[in-house]
Amino acid sequence: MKARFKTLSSVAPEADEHGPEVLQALVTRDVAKYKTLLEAK
Amino acid sequence: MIAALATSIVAALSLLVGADRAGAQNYPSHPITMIVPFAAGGTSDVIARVVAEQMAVTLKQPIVIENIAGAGGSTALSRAAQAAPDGYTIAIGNAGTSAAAYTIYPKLTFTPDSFVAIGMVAKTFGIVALRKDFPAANLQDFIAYARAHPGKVNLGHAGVGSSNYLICKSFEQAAGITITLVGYRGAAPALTDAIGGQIDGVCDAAASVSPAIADKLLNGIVTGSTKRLATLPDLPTSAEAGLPEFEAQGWNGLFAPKGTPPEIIARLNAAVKPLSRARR
Repeated sequence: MKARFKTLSSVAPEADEHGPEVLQALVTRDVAKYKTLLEAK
Repeated sequence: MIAALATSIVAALSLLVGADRAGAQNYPSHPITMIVPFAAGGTSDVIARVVAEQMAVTLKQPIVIENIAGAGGSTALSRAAQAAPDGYTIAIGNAGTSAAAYTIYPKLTFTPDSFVAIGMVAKTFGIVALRKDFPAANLQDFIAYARAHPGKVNLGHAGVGSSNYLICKSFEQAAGITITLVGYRGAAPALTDAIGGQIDGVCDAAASVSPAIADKLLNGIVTGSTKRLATLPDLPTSAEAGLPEFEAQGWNGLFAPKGTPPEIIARLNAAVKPLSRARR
């Protein structure tokens, strides 16, 4: 499985990054991040 | 009369809660559908199939992939948000479909609160690559050229709202240059035109563009990763190339409709856990 991810030039999350709260935090962070980026002139 | 009505309501609620718990305990008892918000063959689709294969082993039920392309992934996420919150319909999303979409498409029928996070399943990395005969060999030369020719340089991406579009926008802002962004219906046609010299280059995920760079069909100038990529060890990171502000590390994650029981979310999360790596 890890080898297949490697061929995609992607990586699996670290062991402490797989929890739902980590993904939820990414969504919250990126909603704000891309709002700022996309609304910038 | 009121007491009898209250008793009936309590009894009915108890039955519902009991049925919900029983459903969670027996979960999953039949195949699960994983909605992929892009056409088959793209980075998210391939990752989804790898993840589904692993989850099926743990959950002892098939995971059926359903590709629903359109509107930057919003069509698929709308469908997922409206699905029954029973754990039998989940969706894979990324920073484009599950974060930037809320700014790009302000009239969406769903919000971030329409979903419950299950877990991150992959990290992805963005690359900027140029056609072989572009008159700049590295990142600094490219930035200098773009500043000398504002708006004249063009980079292709996989469509507004795609993660590749976000790579382009992040790069443009970090470099402080004005680039003409050319949207395609997917990463593959943009890549084809860059290789053919119809456009100056592409913003793309490493999974998609790495083979073309490795085969020297395109000239990779930077990755938005903090570490060099194993598949392209000669490609500098943004910090190494002198543009640390350019950050293009994406993610793919699984989501379930809001209201999905916590016990089922825990089962699904446990099924993606074997994908994670031990931190070295």
